[in-house]
Amino acid sequence: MTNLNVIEATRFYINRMIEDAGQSVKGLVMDKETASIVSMVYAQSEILQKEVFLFERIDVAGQKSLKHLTAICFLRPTEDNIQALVRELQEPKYGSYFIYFTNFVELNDIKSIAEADEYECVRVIQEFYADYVAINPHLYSLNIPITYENNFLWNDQLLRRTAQGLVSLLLSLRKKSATIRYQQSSNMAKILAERLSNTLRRQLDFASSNVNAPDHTVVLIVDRREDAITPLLNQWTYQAMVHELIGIKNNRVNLSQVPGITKELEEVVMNAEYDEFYADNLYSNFGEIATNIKRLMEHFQEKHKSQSKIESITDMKSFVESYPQFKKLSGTVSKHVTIVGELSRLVGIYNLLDLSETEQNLVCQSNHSEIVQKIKQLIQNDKIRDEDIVRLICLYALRYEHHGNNETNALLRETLKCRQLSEKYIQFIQAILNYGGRKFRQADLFNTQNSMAITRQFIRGLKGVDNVYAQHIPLIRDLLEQLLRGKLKDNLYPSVGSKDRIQSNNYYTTSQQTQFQQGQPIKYRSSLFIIPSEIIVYVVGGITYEESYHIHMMNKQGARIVLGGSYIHNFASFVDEVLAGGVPSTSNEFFAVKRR
Amino acid sequence: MSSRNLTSNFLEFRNRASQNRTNHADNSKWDDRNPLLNDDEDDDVVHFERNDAFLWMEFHRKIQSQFGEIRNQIKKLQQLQAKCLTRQVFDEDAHSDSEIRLITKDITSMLDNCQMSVQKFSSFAKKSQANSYEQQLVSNAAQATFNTFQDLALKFNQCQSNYVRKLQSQKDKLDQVTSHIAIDMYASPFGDNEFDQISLLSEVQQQSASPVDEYTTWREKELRDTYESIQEVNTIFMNISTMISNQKASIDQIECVICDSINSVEQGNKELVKAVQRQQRSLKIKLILFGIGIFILLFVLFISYI
Repeated sequence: MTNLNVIEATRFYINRMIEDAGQSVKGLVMDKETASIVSMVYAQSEILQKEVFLFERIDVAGQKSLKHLTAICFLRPTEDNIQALVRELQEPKYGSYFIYFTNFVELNDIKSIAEADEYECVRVIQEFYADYVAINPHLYSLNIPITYENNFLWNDQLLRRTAQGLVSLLLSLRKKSATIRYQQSSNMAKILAERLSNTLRRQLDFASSNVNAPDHTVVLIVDRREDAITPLLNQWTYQAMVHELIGIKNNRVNLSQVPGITKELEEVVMNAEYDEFYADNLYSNFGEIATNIKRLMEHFQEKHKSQSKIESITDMKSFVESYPQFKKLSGTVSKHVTIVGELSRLVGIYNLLDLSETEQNLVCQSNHSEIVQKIKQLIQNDKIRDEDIVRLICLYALRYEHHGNNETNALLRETLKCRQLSEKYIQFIQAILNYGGRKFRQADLFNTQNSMAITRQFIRGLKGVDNVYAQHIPLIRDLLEQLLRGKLKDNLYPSVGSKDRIQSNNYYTTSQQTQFQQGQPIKYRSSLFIIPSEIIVYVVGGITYEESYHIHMMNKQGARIVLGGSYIHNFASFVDEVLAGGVPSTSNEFFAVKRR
Repeated sequence: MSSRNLTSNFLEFRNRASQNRTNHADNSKWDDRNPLLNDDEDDDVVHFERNDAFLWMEFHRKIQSQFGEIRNQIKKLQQLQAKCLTRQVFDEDAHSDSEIRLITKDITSMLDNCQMSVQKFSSFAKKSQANSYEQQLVSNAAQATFNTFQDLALKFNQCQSNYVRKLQSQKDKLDQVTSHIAIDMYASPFGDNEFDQISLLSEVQQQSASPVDEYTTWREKELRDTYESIQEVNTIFMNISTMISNQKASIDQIECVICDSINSVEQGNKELVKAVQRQQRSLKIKLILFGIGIFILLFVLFISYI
């Protein structure tokens, strides 16, 4: 079985759309979201080769007629799009229309489109389930920057969009059955899981996965609040670092803030499908990137030198043959050199090495007094940014939440003495405990809650670490490793409908086996360590590139996991997400400090 | 592939809707009160646009068919070359050699024609079209044809150079082998001593007879090489010209944009000058009015005192 690849799945649909439209000159009509979906998997030059010469938005009104063109409409089935389509068909611009929706569309809407199609321009209406943004082969996102609403409830529209996105993901990966497991402690995850299961069963007669089948898929829905640490850490792998320090949106990086940047490098595209250097170095850490970039530069200089020596005719021929590749290579080299230069400049001026070491030690080791001293030192250091101090304080608050000498307030007081923290950050610090504190989590985030974990941590500490900046392992990795071994506890992560299902489609741990044996007849395999062959993960509240890196590593060792979330967070977007969940209005010392 | 085809439902709905429409059709349009001809100006404009649009599409279709032909010829060439490379070493097949040369000439001339049409298409794209959509459409189409043409030319070059390289390596191997055989041929099978004289004589004879033949073969080889190298130079210059014309397009665009911005900056300058003058004038008028007002006030005060 080939590996799960969401980019291939989306490209397949788009290729099919373009082929079906025939040999004529085509124009692609999209809406705002599908434009991002298409641009992430297809480069413009490639799509031009397939005779798609015009790219339009359905909500932007066009004027004149293009009757000699065929329109391929790739739209999400929202109210606005249907209205816009109806308006378009009443005065059609194009000669013929091939309409593809990214998700289920009601028969009523088809009826309204049919009634509007007086000139009979529409040839085909199909549903092609590409309703998510594919970033890497194992990584997808739904581009929803803020999922939470006040008091951590679902917004109806966002819930519908999320369920639609997940359904389309399952269908595009050609899954016919799946078990849906969700995080028990999160209400939002539970609601989403039930909604998803209902939609699948209703629309498609989706069977719940037969556990004995060889290709058993598990859909795991967890909540970001379970692991609030990962978005707070500074990163050192290429993709994650660029996103954290500069910001990647839809594979585009805005470099206009870089001093001395040339006009053509102000906005660059970083796409692993089309950029070999990037694809090789997505997950390599900062040191490795430096070596690789040096090698790339040397390679480029060699080529350049050989290009300049043109004496014989064979030389001229080889020059002409290799010139287009050379031009592409020079573009790639300048882009990556600029980006890496900017990253190292930022690392230097913000003292990120020192800071990151402190962060990692704070999260993974337990020298309380030492860490407090270090944090106080860093607060006094002018080079460190305000947001990094906020990171440290939040990490400290989460880590030592129930510690005897909790110094969060003291640290905050010191910070406010030397720095002017913006209102947003102060609210964020207040909100983070409400968001991801011990009250909400069910997982053992710092390996302090049971003896097994403590011993594991101790042994890890004794062994020492080979990379002090990569000590932290995100919770999702532990969860997935447990799931792969068949050891993910059912009471913490139940599957949908497990209470009233009687057949063998459920998965029980050995401890619960006896409970149910008395009640209902059960068929299960003799070995209860059933391992899912494929896992599809969705994190409500967003994911990070660090988690994507760990999943990539797991996939390299033979797992088949696809990771996704509502958004790919860096620190800035995470702050907005947490604040949207609601700031606790309890009066406490923080307010007292402010009033001073 | 997971998808769902809703076309049948759609067609059903559409037929039903069209039936409903004809049943409830409003016949007022066909009343005798309406004039025969409509004074609609738009029709002319639409008519004009359509010609233009079809023109570039014709162009595009012709170029695509040319590309298709070139691709077929390149495939044939590759097959012939593969056949030549795998044939027996001593089997000098002049026929397939000449065929290869013929096809290469064909492809070169077709690429030449293609290049002219692609350039014509690009210049047509630069002319301003009826609206921005057409403009973008045609420029995208021109860009795509240009890229395809470059790829084809590159492919042809690579094909040729691979063939020459493989042929060269084969010849080198052959030379090594024949040089060994040459030594063996001249070594006598009965030992060196007795037949040395005879073998020496025959060698001398061979050497004296060879200069003339050698000279002619060498000259022929040189001529052939020169001919081929001139052909290669031709294709190289053609490729360089396409690359440069590619850059020319962007440079032209830059020039255009700069001219536009010069115009708008000059206009903006004029407007600013006018605004400044107006402001100054209004300031002057305000001062004068203020002065008059104060004068009148003083006058009134003066009179009231008196």
